[in-house]
Amino acid sequence: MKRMFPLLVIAALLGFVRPAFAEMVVIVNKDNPLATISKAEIEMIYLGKKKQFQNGSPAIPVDLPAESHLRREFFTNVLDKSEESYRLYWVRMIFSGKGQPPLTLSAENEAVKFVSQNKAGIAFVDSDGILPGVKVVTISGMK
Amino acid sequence: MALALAMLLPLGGAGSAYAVDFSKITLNGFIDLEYTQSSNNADNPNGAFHQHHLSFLLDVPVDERISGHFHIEFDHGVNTAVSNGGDIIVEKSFIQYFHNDLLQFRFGKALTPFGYFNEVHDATPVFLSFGIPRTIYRQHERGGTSMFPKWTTGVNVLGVREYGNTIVEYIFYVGNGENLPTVNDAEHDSNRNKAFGGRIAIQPVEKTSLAASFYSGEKAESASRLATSHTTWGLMFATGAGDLGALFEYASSDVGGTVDTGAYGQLSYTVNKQVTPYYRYEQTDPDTSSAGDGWTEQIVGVNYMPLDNLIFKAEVADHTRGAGNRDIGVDPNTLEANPKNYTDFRFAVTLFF
Repeated sequence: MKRMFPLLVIAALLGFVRPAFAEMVVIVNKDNPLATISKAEIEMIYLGKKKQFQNGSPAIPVDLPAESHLRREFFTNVLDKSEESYRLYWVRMIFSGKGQPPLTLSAENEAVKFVSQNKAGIAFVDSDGILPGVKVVTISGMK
Repeated sequence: MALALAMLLPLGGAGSAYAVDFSKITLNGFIDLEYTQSSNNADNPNGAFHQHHLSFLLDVPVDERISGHFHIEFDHGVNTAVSNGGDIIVEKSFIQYFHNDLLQFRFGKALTPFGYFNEVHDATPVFLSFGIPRTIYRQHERGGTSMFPKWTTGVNVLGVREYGNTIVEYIFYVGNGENLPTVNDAEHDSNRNKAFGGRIAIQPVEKTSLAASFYSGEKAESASRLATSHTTWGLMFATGAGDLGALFEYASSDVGGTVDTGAYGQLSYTVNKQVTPYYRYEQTDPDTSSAGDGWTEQIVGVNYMPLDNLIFKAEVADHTRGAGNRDIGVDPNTLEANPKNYTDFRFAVTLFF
């Protein structure tokens, strides 16, 4: 265990510095013909206003746990909402019978796996966590 | 007996075959306890606890296109052993069919999609204040006439589309009109024609939205007046910047030539994500052809959310009424004087999931 301690420290440090190098990206299934998606469309999908991509195929958004550093970045830069206002928005949607919030998966790799296995999936992840079954889409309309 | 069992067996089998995976069904709900006291002797001078809502909502996705949405409410701490012992109400119960984002249908009973608040009429977790504005949404409690039915049973058509960064949503409906209080709107229509209405909402930029609503139907006012025309329209504007929120609505209702109007403005500011003080000014004119019958309510309150699903609310409401308002005078139930001006103190705790 003593021998492993320095390795654990290094791993922790690497984990700590990782966000500085990684980039938040939006992914879809590799079979989804989508190459570009607008910021407004992502917002509408995550707010439950749209259940389809622009091309008419179904869209199933995936969320990450509240403690995810990516989540705050995604909400601020793409959804233009704080996590709190997003949560309260969904409280209103639920109690007006307009649906349920996106599925929340426990970790980024779970989100990548979900999207790789579901043609309708869409998620936000770190660019260094991409797997063969998914592809990154360009977001248009970003400030 | 044997015949009855034989009939039930296939039904049991069919139930299993068509059952929805239980893990896909979502159960939400809320409960709230209130305490209110009024300086008005005719209302609630002693103060009282009120177990107001116990609500359960179910979302049942049957497949990618079809889902069921149900909301059952036990109102006022239901006790059927006493008279006026609360209500058990189906707040909504509809089947939704999703054709595409632009075209969806709802079949069943739903809260009438009018304005900002009616679809969350009793859902206390959703709004900052103790209750939704009495003006516009409960005009009959402000000396006027209900501007539209709380529920409509029938068919809704709805959809959404974005134009660049602008989001446009619409909903139109057709359903039963307004019956006498003794006749169930969800079962029968006393009126010759169906009611219809709709709402169009536009979000031109983030955190700002505008909406226009309308309702048109026939209202049964008495056994001899079963089809009085009823038309209502309303406008809504909501905006926000940072932690600041502002909401304004205006509506006008014409029942057989008597015109009611209602308007309110609400400002709020959230501090530290948990505490939101708010102020609301409500103005009601129950009959625009009659002077001195107005009702003004000013509410100052605070909404405190210490946990993600627990809310405390406290507010003071000051009422000023014109001498001509029909609620002024001696209360027929208590025989107490019902003064022009009075103050309410309201507290509530709400738990939701």
